[in-house]
Amino acid sequence: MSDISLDDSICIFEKDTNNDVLMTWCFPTIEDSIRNVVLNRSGLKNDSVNAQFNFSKYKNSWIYLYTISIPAQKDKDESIVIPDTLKKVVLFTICIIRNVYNPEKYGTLAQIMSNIYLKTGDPSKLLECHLRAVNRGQFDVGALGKFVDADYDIRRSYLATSIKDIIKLFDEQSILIWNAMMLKKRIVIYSDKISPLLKVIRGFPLFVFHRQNWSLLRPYVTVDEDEIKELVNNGVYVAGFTDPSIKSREDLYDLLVDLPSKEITVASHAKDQFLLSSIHKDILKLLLTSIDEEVEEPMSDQAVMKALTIKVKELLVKLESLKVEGDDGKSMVTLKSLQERKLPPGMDTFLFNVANVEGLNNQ
Amino acid sequence: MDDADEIILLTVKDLGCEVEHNITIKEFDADIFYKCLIQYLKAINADKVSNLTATIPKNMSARVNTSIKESWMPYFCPFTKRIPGNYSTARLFTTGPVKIPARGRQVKVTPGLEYYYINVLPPVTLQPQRADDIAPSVFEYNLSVFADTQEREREWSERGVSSGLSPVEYAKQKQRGVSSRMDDSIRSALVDGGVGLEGRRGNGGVSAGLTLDDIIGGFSGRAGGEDMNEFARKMLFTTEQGEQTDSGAAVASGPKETEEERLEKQRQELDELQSSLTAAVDEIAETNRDMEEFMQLLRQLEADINEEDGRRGDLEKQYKIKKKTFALLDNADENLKQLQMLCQQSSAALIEMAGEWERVRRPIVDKFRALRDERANQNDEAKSKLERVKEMRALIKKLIAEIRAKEELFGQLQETYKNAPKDTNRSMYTRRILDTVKNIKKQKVDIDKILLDTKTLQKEINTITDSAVRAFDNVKDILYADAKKDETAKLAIKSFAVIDEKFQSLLLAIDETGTYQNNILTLTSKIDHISQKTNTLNSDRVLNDLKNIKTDNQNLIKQIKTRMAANKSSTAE
Repeated sequence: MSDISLDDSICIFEKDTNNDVLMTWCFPTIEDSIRNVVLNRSGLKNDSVNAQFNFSKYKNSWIYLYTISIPAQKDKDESIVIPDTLKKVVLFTICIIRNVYNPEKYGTLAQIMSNIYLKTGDPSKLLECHLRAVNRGQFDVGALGKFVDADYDIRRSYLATSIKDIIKLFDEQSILIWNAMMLKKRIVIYSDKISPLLKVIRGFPLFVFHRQNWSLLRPYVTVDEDEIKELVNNGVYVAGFTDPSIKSREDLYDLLVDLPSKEITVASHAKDQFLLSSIHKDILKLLLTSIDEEVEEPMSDQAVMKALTIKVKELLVKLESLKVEGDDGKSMVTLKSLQERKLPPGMDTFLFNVANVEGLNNQ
Repeated sequence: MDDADEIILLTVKDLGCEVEHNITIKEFDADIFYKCLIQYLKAINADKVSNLTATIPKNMSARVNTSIKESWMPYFCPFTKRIPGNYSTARLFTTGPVKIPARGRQVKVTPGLEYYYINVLPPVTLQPQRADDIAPSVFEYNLSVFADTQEREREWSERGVSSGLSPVEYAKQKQRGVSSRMDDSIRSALVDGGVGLEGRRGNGGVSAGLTLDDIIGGFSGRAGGEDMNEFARKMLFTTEQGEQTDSGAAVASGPKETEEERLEKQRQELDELQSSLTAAVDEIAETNRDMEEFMQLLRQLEADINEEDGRRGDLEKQYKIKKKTFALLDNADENLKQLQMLCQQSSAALIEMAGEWERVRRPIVDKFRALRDERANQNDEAKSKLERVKEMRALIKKLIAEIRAKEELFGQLQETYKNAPKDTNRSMYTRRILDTVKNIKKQKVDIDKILLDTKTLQKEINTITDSAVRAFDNVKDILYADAKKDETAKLAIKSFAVIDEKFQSLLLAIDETGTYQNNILTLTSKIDHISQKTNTLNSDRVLNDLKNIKTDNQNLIKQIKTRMAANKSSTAE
């Protein structure tokens, strides 16, 4: 397996009857900063566990959290036997830290692990599973679940959310998302519930599928000071929040996506960057036809992305031709040269920005 | 005076210290010594001591005093003698109280200061300029202090106590909360203020570059519900004034210019200024836009760097793995087997260790939870105790009220007691009461005796009547038995019956006489009683007086009659 890393770790957080949240077990270690972030995001501290499974990112680590409420499990199945070690535990969260994005794979792994932990209360069993998964790429614990590493292809994770659903959700405003993604803008998505947030946010990189870059996602961030700091350090990000106070932090985003009200707002300082040109019109037309139900042969998700990629490639080819000799002898796209061509308003800056983010000027 | 002393004094004077002419070393006090010291220090290095003053702060002098109060035993003294409590030796090495020249409020130390405070300095009521405001301001100040403490106490007893924190911790927590809320509101105001500002300028060109004035202006502008903020208004006001004075000066200097010319000139100037202003604003907007773009670029570059960093890490790792793999490639199969074995071994070891760790970890977690349980219980207990304390406080308040009421009552009673006559002799009363009690006891004994007597008497009477009845019956029987044979017996029966009858009537008579006797007795006692009463009235004397009065009256009547007759005769004449 190529994705083994020393940063990989598994931890168990427990909340007991005294309302204490403890990290009761960990393998091999966890950094203090990440531990605090995990605690914040698990919601154990403030009784706001709003999703059984969530995934998020801090620095270069992806954090997968699976939370189980023991009273809720008892309600579901009265015959369940709680092991002695969990007698005083109300909630526990299994946390898997990896440096790879694959919510499906690690979600399943975390779920199986929580099943085992609920049944045995013995963390060393989790270690066993972990080692087997690492060594052999699979393990089987009978009724509690079966894990086969090879079943989870990263591409399936990329495509787990349909791009068409997002276009349907935001209709014409989708072009703002495309623009922001294309120009690598800071995007903040707000939703009061975490599961729709995660579902939507992971679909955003599909708009720029040619980059295949999911690492700029910060699917779930709390407004904790350290987390915000880390977020800002990233420069560019697509971050999800469930705290409504984020809407007033205009300094943190260029584009705000409000899921409950389906509204997209451009931050006042970034308005110049969102002037729409004929290229945008073209792309929007493509996006809207993809969800047009009256068309006889509706486009598949893959087709939409392929079409988008082709459009971008065409744009890049065109940009390549616009290169001029720079001051230092390098051929590059300059704003001045674009302005001299008397392009329609907005087009020049857009093209210049695209050239920048696509690295045409750095070669 | 020693020669050595003289030399020292001379040097001191040389240094420029003002020392009285005929002073000796022995007369040196702390003041002079300190002055000399400073002079010396100045001679050594004037720069370093330039900020030293002739006195040292109060707290510093206090510190010097406390440290020289300790006895300074030489090191060769035996340790046992160096114990501060060992006065005999220690006192020899203790300095007497030294007056260190200090500044600050030293009412007692500075001569005359106390006198000044007491006699010269006007009282606080006379210090401010407007005496009318003193009372209200002092009241207001006290009220605010009082209200503040009250509020704090109330909050503490309502929320603070139940939070389970110490007062200091609670205050800290509150402070944190307040400051974070302030931060939030300032941040949001910044954002809003930015928007408002842009709206105000109309062209939307300026977005960044907020100044503090803008923010404050944003606050007040919104609060007043007006478009113009206070700062702007103030600015406007001052510029207006400036303009006015300018124009005034212009009129004064150039009276030849006509009004129109002047206006035209002004307009031109205004236009120029306006155009330069717009140009400047445009430039600023441009720069801002550029800045924003650069910021964007910077952020993107940062993101790229981060990404590249991550990729580099991955690649390094991959490189290491591949390097190792290549090294092992020569003997691939064997190495693979070895690696697998190693892997399995370390896995097994890890699992074993995890099991062991589990044996250690579990008790720790359990213990932690148990301790937390205990603590929670203790907290609960503390809470319940607090509840009880609260109840007790309420009770105390109630009791205090009761005590007050009782005190009042006590005061009233004391008052009445004071007002009551003082001459009543308590001991006499008690003696009398005791006497009566004794008498009653005696009488009780007597009554008991009499009762016993009457009982025995009753018994005797009963037995006698019984025997009498029986004798009567016997006689009757005998007589009836004899009557059948003897005529005289019949006569005897008849006479017997008569005797019986007579006896019965006799008994009745006796009874009656008894009751009469009783009546007589009660009557005589009543008579006695009444006669006693009448005796006290001295009826005899009264009767005598009556007689006297009657005779007097008759005499008087006679006199009147003779006078009347005399009168009649005189009138007739």
